[in-house]
Amino acid sequence: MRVGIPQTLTYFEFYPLYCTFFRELGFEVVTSGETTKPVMDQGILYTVTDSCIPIKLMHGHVAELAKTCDAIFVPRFVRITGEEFETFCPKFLGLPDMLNASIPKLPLLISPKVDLYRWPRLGLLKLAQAVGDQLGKKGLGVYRALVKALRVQTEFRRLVSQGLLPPEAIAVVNKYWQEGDSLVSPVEAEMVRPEAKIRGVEAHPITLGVVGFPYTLYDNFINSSLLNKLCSLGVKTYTPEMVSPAKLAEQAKGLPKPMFWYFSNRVYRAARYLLVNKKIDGLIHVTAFGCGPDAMADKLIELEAKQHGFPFMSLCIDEHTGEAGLNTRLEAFVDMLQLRKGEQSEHNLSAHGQFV
Amino acid sequence: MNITFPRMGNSYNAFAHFINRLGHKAVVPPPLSDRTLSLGVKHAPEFACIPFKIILGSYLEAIEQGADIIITSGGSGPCRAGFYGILHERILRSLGYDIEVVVFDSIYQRPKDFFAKANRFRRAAGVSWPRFFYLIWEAWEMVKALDELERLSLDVRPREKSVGATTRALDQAYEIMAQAETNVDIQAARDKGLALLRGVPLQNKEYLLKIGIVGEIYVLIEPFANLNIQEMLGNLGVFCDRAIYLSGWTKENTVADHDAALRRTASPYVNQMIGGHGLENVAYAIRYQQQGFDGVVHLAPFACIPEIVVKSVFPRVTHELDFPVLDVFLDELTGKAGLQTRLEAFVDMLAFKRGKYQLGGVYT
Repeated sequence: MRVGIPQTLTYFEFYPLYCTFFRELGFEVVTSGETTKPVMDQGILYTVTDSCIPIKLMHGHVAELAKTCDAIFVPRFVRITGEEFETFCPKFLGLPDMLNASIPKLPLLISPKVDLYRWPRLGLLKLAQAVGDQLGKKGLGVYRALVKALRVQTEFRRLVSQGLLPPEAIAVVNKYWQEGDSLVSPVEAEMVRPEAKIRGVEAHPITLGVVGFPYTLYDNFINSSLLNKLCSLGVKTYTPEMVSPAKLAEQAKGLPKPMFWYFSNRVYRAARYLLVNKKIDGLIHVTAFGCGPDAMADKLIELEAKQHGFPFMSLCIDEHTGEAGLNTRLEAFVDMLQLRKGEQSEHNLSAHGQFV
Repeated sequence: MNITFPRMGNSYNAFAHFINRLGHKAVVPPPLSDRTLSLGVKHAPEFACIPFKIILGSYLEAIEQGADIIITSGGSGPCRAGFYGILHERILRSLGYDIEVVVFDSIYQRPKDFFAKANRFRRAAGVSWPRFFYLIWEAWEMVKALDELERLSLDVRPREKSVGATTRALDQAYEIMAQAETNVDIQAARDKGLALLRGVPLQNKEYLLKIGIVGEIYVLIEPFANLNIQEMLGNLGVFCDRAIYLSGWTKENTVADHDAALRRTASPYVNQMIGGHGLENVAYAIRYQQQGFDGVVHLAPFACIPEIVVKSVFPRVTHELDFPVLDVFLDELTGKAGLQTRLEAFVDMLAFKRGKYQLGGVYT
């Protein structure tokens, strides 16, 4: 039996866990591959017009998998932290329902409800049990698979905390599965790979905070390889995944009550951490067209950047595939930052929203 | 204290009544207009939903009229409405207004916080707790009376003899209600209003159709946001029933395990609370089908998160139950002609389905 995992949304956060769990249970695991134009077009076909772009992509990926897979894994994410009111966006909550209603001829949709608010460990066990039941796997094997999956996930988190971007860390995990290497040894080797090295070097003219959801930041199709472009402009980038969870949690004090959305909270807190600790020269918020939580988070981050006196740019990604507009905006932003930084003593370029 | 609050439908009468009776000064936001919307759109994030923009604009207009404190409701998500207060305050402050937004979160979830905030207004007004609760009760009575008037108008309008008579009677009834002081006055004003509406001359005809209206609470209740859809439908001779009232009429007048029953009804289509009135709206639509309604109009603000999920599953509801649903997503456009045309077409098709309409535009 072949289990499909869409390569978007929570893929960049939990793929090692999903992959290991299903492999350990003896299933073949395939992903829908990177986003492409046909995938996006399919997604647009199956969703309502006012849906946000990530959800459209998700539909495209699922439709892609539906062609070849016997089952598709789309968990219903509700809560995964200890915050009572920190759920996921309503579209995540209703995702399996939307897919069921929109895409014809879907194979088995494995969509257990993920609510780990009250009993995280027990919740995980029950979750594994539910998925096992749905696929006809019983007994200890399911728990063994879960334990292994959690171990690989922890290893993946460690790789990310060492400065690898999630897609790179996922590549390490995939290599581990293909070649049977241990997960530990390739890490150090991966760390000296050129891309990783560039990010590690100190002598960059500009350091930027680039905050956004993992599924917008690391999907190179939808953001037109934003991070690579910044890299080739000589910019060192910080993304929310590079800020440790403890440091993120500290920044919760920036709001009288946290927002209701897991990913948005992380984006806001990462942005605030970077601004407060003055680790950056400027901030880019990558928002998704039509994203509800982003509308709120973007304004909060904008006001925060203004208050701390940092240049801020909000970059909205959508269905357009032309790159010229994006290139121009990035180059202009980086140029301005360079000018601003070069004449630090008596620069005459204003930060966001201020007049000179 | 000069207190203002979000304007939503006819409820401003009751809020103003409460604040004035408490001894503060209520600054009623001016009737919503294109100017309100423009002000809101100018300062709100692009993808904020339309209620956020309208309310922001209306706060700005209330501030012009001297309001210095804003009272609003909170929430626990995941709908964005629960976060309005915090972001509104930050935006208003960034515009240079020294204004405070007091957000009342659910009394059940944060009782301490709720009473601390309530106490502040009570003490400043110098009234006792019993009196405070009495006034809340009195305002609630007014909310219920206002909703009762509005509900009757939906019944009368499709059968009125001359177009506009019901709306005039309703406005008059609201005016009488606004003069009410005590609970006795409120009940008297209610009876007077109901009599006014019952006195509207009727044509001796039945409704052409029965249509249910479901959707996001603000655009459902505020006529400015929904381009006065109730009146449009009424003028087409359609009786429309609204799923949501501020007084929770539907809730109090149906079965005891209301919420659980709604969840059960909606579960084949949406099997998870998705915030706002998302799940409820699917259930309300199914319920309208069971009650023999001809169709449902689904109202939502552009980019509303829960309602997009609802919109995605409605095609399945339509197919499986053979029940027409018209999705109307409301945005910053205020021209009514587009909506009018869509409603007319929808009503024609429903009438055709019922055998009440023949080609050539003759209703039978």
